[in-house]
Amino acid sequence: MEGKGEGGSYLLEVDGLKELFERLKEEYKVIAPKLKDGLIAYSEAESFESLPFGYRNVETPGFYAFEKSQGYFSYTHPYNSLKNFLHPPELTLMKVVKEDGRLSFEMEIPKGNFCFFDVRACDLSALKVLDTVFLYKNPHPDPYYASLRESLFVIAVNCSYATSNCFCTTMGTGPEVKQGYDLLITELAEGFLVEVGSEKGRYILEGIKNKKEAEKRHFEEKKEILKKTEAMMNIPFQTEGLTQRLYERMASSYWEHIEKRCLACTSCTQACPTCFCFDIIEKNHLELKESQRIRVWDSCFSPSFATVHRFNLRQSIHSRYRQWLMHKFAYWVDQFGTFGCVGCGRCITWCPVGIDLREEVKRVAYS
Amino acid sequence: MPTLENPYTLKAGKVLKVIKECEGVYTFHIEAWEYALPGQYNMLYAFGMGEAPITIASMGDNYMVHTVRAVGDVTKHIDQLREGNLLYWRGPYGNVWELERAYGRTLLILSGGLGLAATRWVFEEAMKKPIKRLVHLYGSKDYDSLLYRYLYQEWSSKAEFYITLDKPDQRWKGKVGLITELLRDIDLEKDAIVFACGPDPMVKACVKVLQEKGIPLSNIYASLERHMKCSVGTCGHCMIGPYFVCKDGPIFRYDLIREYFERKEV
Repeated sequence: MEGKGEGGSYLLEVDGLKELFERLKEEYKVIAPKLKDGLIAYSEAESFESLPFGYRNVETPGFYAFEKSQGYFSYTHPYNSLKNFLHPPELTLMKVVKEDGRLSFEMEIPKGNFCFFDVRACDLSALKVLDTVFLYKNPHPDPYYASLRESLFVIAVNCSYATSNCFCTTMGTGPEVKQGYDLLITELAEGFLVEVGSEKGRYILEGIKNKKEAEKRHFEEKKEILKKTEAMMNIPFQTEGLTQRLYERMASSYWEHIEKRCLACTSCTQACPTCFCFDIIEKNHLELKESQRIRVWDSCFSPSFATVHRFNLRQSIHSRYRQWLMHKFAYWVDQFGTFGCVGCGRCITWCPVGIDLREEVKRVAYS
Repeated sequence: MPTLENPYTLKAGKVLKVIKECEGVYTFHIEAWEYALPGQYNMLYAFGMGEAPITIASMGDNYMVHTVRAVGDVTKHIDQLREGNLLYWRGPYGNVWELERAYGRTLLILSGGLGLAATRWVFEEAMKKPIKRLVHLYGSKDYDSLLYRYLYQEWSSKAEFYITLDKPDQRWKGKVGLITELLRDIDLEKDAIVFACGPDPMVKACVKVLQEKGIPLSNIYASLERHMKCSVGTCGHCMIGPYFVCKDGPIFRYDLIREYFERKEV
């Protein structure tokens, strides 16, 4: 999935895009954004028309809504992310059966075969981060994640809009999609520029009749659009040297200020496309002959997260916030060679008290 | 992608022997031919309850030794196992004591309470290695909490093994007080290597005394205990600063872990 525009680039009209969508549905479980319960949500797509065309999400700290807009891909990313499908909130690791005093174990490895239709630059970076955590920098690569991720097909989309919570330019992850896609769409005035990023992408596009070769002006327009999107975002802080600055400020009294605001509700960690922490719980049948070991999302904000002999090592809420922020911008870099934050802004939107991560990073590291 | 080994697969081992150490603490000899090294631990599973990380206390030709205190749901269940029962487990996990660093030098082992289970194996191994002087200080709460009483005679014949009790009664004729007091009385070369395992406050207090004695932090190793669920570096529970205790530890060179270990609530 590397190489920009490798294998050609085409201009498709809506009909062509719809044809592409139908084609993908024949081969994959297609996940796409959809208007659902007042949100733009990734869910299994029924039809091309179920995409939230003509709408856009409005996000500010602690606020989410959507409104009518012009164009097709005029929104940004959905409220949930690829994590919800590749590292699902609840996943059965195994079934344990007790018979004549002996236990037998049935491993349940779910199949993925997903196609994500419409992935933005930030979420594509988050996918790369999750790959590192679960597979490439893990001494015991996770077979569940690997299986769900296998044969993943990615239709990436360049953003033509940014909400006030977006900060991908700061984290260096967007708005332009640069790699990791099979096909990349940019919405232009006269149609959709589709660039091929992989052999799989080329193969799928081959069967699409409604397309023509892209021309130089289409790429010029793409550049203009991305420039405009970029201009919609501020750069609240510099990431260069940030990790070191944070390590130096672990003892800062700044952290205590967060105690009065953070509710430790775990919303941010659930909305985050890279937060991977999980618990393993036992689901037992009443007759005690069968038990399932289930992996469920956990959060460093939970009061039981760091307990040793029933004593939580992180009693105060601000120590849990410090753990989270330090992990995202400092520890993560040492552990996996990348930031744990991709600048999608979900944690800012979904914080019930509107704590703005950008402001907190600025305060602790640069004031 | 090739088929990956499932890290959650459990193995079964027959309980060959059960020793009651004291109230609520049992030692199990589990039939196993696993390759493991001193310092490592296993995840022991209890049906319907979950798993708990338990250090490998020792290793025989065809069995491994686990000492388990009944503190949680899982350990309470495991402590009910008896000879002939099966124990389900996965492992071994974690890093090992760097015993080679102590060759030709003094090795000081500091154990607090159940921490002795984590130092027993490396202590036994050290007796067979070219260690110049082997000293082991073991601090226990009271007489009834003492572990491995049946080994003291042998240990004392092969090394300087001292016990101190925090709250003794008339049955105790030995040293009284905290392990730090015992440590103060010991003469140590400045290039000695130290292995420590015990409650966090004990380890911190001992390190202070060792510093007074001029032992560099880079010569001190501590085995830490943290909440663990997956043990394979993925679930995030055992994190301390940038380290995962499950895969980067449980043993840490003290100078590397100090700023996270000594800082409150990291």
